Amino acid sequence: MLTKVRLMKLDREGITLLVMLAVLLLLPAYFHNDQYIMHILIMCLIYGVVAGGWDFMMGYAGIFTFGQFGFFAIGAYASGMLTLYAGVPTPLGILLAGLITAGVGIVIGLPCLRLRGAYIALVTFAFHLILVPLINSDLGRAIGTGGTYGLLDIPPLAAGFSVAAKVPWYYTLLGVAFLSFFAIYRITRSSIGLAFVSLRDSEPLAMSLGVDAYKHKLMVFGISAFLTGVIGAFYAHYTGIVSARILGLDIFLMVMVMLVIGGMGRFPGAAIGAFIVTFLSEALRPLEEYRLFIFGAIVVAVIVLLPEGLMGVLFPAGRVGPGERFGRFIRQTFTRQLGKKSIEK
Amino acid sequence: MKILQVNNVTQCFGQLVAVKDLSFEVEKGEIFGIAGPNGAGKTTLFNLVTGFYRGSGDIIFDGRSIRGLRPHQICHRGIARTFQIPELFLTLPIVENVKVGVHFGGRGAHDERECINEAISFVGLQGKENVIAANLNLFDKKLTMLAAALATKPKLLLLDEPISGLSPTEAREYMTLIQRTKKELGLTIIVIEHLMKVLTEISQRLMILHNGEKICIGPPKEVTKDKRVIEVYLGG
Amino acid sequence: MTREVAEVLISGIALGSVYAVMSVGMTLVYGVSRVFNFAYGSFYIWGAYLAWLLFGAFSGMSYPAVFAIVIPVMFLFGLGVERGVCAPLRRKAAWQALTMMSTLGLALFLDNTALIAFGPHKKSLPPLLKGTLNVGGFVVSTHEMVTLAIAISIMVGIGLFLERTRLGMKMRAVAQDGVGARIVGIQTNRVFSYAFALSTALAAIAGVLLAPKYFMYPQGGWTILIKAWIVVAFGGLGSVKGTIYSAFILGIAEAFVGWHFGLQWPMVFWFALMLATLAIRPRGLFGTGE
Repeated sequence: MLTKVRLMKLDREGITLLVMLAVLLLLPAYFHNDQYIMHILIMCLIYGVVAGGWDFMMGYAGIFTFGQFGFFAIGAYASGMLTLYAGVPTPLGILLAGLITAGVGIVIGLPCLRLRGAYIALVTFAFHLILVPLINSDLGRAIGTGGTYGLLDIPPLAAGFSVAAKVPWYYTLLGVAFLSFFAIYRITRSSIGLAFVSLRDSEPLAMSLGVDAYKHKLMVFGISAFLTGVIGAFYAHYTGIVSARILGLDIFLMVMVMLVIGGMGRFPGAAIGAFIVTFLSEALRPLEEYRLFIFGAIVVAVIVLLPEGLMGVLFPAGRVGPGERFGRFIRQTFTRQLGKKSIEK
Repeated sequence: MKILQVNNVTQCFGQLVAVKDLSFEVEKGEIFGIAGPNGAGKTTLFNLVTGFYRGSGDIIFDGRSIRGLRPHQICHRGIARTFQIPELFLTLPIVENVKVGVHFGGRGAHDERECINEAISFVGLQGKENVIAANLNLFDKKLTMLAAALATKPKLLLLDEPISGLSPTEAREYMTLIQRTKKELGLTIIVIEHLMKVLTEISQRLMILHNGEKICIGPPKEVTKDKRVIEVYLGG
Repeated sequence: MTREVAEVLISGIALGSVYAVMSVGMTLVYGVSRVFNFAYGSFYIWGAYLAWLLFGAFSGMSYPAVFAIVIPVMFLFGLGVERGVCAPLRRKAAWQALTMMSTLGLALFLDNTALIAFGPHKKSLPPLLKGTLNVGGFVVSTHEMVTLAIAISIMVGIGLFLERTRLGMKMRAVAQDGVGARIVGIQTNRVFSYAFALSTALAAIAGVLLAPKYFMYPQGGWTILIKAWIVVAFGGLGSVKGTIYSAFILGIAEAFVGWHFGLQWPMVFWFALMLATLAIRPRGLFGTGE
């Protein structure tokens, strides 16, 4: 394990991710008896992946998109419908749902290829908004979305994975979430990632240097949609119920706050944001109707005051922030523990 | 041997005709200058050749038509360019900027690292590889743009007003680079400038554009004496 | 032309005129400052809610008085938002994304404030003028005619503003070339603020005009936002004239689609239209092509 770590040349983002993984692996030791907290943690993981996929598209690849929940919903419904009506075994259903969502992502991406930023936001947002009446309509019911009641009794992941089995679900989803973030991490450090960043920073220059803008933009849509569709599918099998509720603007706003608080484009800020915001949201629950109105105010305040989010606070540009110091502490502890050569930066 | 042939190319933006029925040829290995007052259509011409615009008419590069190809495909055919207002990947260091050119534009580069270093040292930026592009001064930005373009191993290089905004020393350095590019790398180069003096020094042939039309083409000595050119430039 | 068709047509024209009012606001703000205001729909419904409040609070309220209050209040509100939220963000590199997200947050904040203050049930405003008119043999509601008249006057007013007044010309200059405008000495920040404030007022006016017929509820701003944007995209970004033509065409089209196919379909029609426009002619009918 240590050799692998050295080979991958972990940087601050990789280390942050691993630190989070370590903490998350241990949490159930304390909370496994509290169904409520376990459920919140599970939702943190699920929303974390949605936020991560969103940040990948918007913060990293620079494509303004508001369609993330559209992908989530399609993944959830696709897997729900495949397993419920076509008897497809759940793991296969989830995989297919991911692929279907990736396909939808690419289809939505096609009109966006030649569009300027704000237009892409509009098209993807319209896609999100259109899904609600579509799902609830007669047409939707005919396909089998269950209309306003939604899909019920969706089969769980496997035997023993009922919605009450929090600990198995937690670890499964932790694995899925980690893999998703790890995939994003690897992509950002690959040449494909370089293409995405080049297109974000200067599309004309990138194109003149041989980067195929259309192909790469569609890839972003496809990858992000796939990851979000998969986690949407997992969500469906976890809760057993799916309705147009998941397209509610309140949840949309909540995940957007995650992005903003974590730090857009600052990996893995989205994951950190997911935990903070989900718990904050639960803490504010007693306030019922005031909750969203407070969230809206928080979004505006955080964006204006802290545009780089929490990652910007932990790892500020140009000086040694708290994150860096903690990282050094960890590295020193490791080397002292194992007495080997220090982990390469 | 003609490396580039532009045949009856026209580009309109609504009612504005930016380039009107333009035809000319560029010889392989020469430095070809394009001058003209602002708004003459020079940058539009570059955008047409590099696939950013798609006008009517035909453009033949290295014997094959490049009409309708998209910019990245034209890069792969062997045309590279720089931009009038420096375009760079501002969040990336110089080495990554050039790497994009090597990786996506270079054709079958065996050792990327070597190609990157070659390009960077050719323009004289060695030692600054890890400086983030946003922190560079104008001259270094232009050099980075050039290095990235050269990293795609082009046959034809289009430079859009490379000297504008540079100090006299920097301008001289850049011009020397242009000549080295032709001599050492064997590239054909088309340079847009609206300062005639610069072009007459380095170009083998010049073309003057005005309102999207070619008003004169030939060796600098002839062009600078041309009546119409003098009129258009009012002694520029 | 049968009676029904004519009535739908007239309805469509009246609808189109209001779409023109709200879409011109959107063209203005995007054309001048490149800001995509996600809270535009919320400004629209708040205009309507403010009017509702005024009608409820004061018994002798008339529309002229309502407009006299709502317009300046919303104008100032828009000014405040621009100064407080949009202006500080413009300094950041990612200002477009940040502005979109902050206006989205603002939209949800405003929507939920409306939800808390006014409840989720649909509300309505009294018609501008009651009764019906006889126009060339067809019976139309007076309200729609007055709406049409008001909207057209506003269009004319905006046109004159842009052509004749100094501020209007500055806005056009900034819309065409922001850097050039700054070089010439135009204080672009102020122009941005006024454009935003003006667009907010326009959204509010549109809200008041359409509320009597289409009701208002806290989430109602979203379809308006999407529609305004589609109208602008169809007509051509940066073209006020294009936006106005587009608004009328689409208003009439929507009236017919709704009448012929049922009320569920207009939104699908809008979405399809948007995709078609973006795919076939991204510049829109009269777009100047950025």
